Amino acid sequence: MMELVRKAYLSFILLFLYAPILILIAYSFNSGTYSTEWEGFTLDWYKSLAKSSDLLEITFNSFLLAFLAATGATIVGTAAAIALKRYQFLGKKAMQGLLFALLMSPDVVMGIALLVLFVALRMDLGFFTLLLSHITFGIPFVIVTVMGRITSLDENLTQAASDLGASEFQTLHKVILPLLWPAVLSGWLLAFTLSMDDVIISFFVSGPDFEILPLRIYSMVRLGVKPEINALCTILFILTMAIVFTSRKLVGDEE
Amino acid sequence: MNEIVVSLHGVTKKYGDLSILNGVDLEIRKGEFLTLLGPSGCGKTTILKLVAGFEFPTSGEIRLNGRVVNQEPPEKREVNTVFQSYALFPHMSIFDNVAFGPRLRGVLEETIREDVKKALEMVQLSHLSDRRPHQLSGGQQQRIAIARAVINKPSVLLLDESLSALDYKLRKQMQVELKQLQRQLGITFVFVTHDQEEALSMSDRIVLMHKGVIQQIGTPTEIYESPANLVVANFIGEATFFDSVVVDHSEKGIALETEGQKIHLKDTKTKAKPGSKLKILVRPEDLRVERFLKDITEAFSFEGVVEDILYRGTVIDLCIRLKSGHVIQATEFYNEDSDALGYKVGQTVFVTWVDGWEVLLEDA
Repeated sequence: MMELVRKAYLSFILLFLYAPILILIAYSFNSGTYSTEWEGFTLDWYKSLAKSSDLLEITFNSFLLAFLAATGATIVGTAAAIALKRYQFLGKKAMQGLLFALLMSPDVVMGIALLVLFVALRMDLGFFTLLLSHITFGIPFVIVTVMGRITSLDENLTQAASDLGASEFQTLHKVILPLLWPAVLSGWLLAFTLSMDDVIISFFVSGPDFEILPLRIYSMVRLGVKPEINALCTILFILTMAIVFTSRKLVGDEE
Repeated sequence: MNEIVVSLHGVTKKYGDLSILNGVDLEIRKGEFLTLLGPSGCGKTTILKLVAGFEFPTSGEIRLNGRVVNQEPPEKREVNTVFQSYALFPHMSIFDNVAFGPRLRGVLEETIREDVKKALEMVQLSHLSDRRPHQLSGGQQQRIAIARAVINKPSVLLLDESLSALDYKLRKQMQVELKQLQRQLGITFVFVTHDQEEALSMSDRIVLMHKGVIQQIGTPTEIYESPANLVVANFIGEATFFDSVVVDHSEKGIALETEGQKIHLKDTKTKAKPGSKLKILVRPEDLRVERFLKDITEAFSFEGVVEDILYRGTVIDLCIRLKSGHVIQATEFYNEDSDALGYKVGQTVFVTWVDGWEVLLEDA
């Protein structure tokens, strides 16, 4: 009896979490244009998606942005995490506190703040303002991910390295970074996905020259959900899942 | 042989207001097996960290091979450490772990291969060189940690509670192996432990620490048989104490009043004034317990009643309540020739010891 309840409960949670996505995927194969009723299987929406060259370009833009932003955030974030755990410096406590404030701060506030900053600096809104913003909101997530891993490392390992003659840089290169690598990868993926689906902050800091997917989808949906969007979202979902599984596998092998 | 490898002069270490070490003076001789012994928090591990370079002294001077190394980072010191947690690099094979030090020094890869092989043979684990640390047992990891350290031919090898994570049997075995290794290599070993048995059986000299101060430095025999003060006496081995007051002393010995009796001992070292208090320390195994007064050959004895008998295999511990109400512990060897233990709870007995086997300590 308990077993049954347990299974039912688990199924309910999974259904609750994934039902919307499953419906979206199902509708991307529905031949009916506007109706919510099933009118037969079709791949038309995927075909028309492939033909729409500007959607493809925008998708590419989004991937490029996410890749660069995640890489930037990972480099800065990993360095910051190591500094926060390994060294003593003035303002360390304050930095740690502000880090969590940044994680919690509403996207709207962040978006407007960045916009005000860019306007004040007379920067043209476009690719660079987007990239800077995405790096900015990615950094705290990378720091938190990497810090978690550093905390679980045996402090004696770095002491052992210097005891055996390794300089600070050699310790970093030969011991700390190789051991942090799974966390660095997770941090990168997190920053990548956050960048891929950010609407609110991007809305404030993007310009007409560089369009990205989440904003395009958002503006398209205002005129009603087109079946092409279902198809696009399905592709995005499958890509994300693929990335998550690969990273899990990579990290899992390492451990 | 009496060359000094490491010396500490007036070394003090403070964390804020908290004082960990208080004016420590210590000279470590070349080739010796020196043990830093004391309860946790006594500062023994801090001394190790100061010598290794993981911590720097607040004041005082540390010399390594004659040069002052107070602020020198660990990678510059010809000292290696075996950590309590072993600290093997989990992402490297056993070979790469052992080769870590030589590679950093830029030794030729061919030479490294030879050296690593030799180091692993020395700890009898050459067949495991391709494994990862987590595939090894605790005892094996311990030996790899030692191999990784000694391959660098350090002037001093520091071992931080290195055996405490091992189970009893393995620990005993490693004690013997460590001692053999140290003789074979001729490297100075500085070993930190809170286990007095370990310290007594392995060391050439023991440094007994308490609350950041060195209480006594001496050979295991000296530490056990002539403890310098009450702290040492209490920490090392079991001890039975008798409170006493000095009556008089001369070249022939000392007269004391204890347990309601006046006794004479031939001790002439103690210069305590008449009227001052002394503790008489006698090891439980040095106490003689007899059932009849006629069997006592010493000039003094104390009458008491057996309160408890603890059987401990080869010996028995007797708890005896003396007439004064003071309860003492005496260890007697089990007499294998007789079936009976020879003692019963409630029995009247007489306790004494051989004059000269006691230690007189000033009552702090």
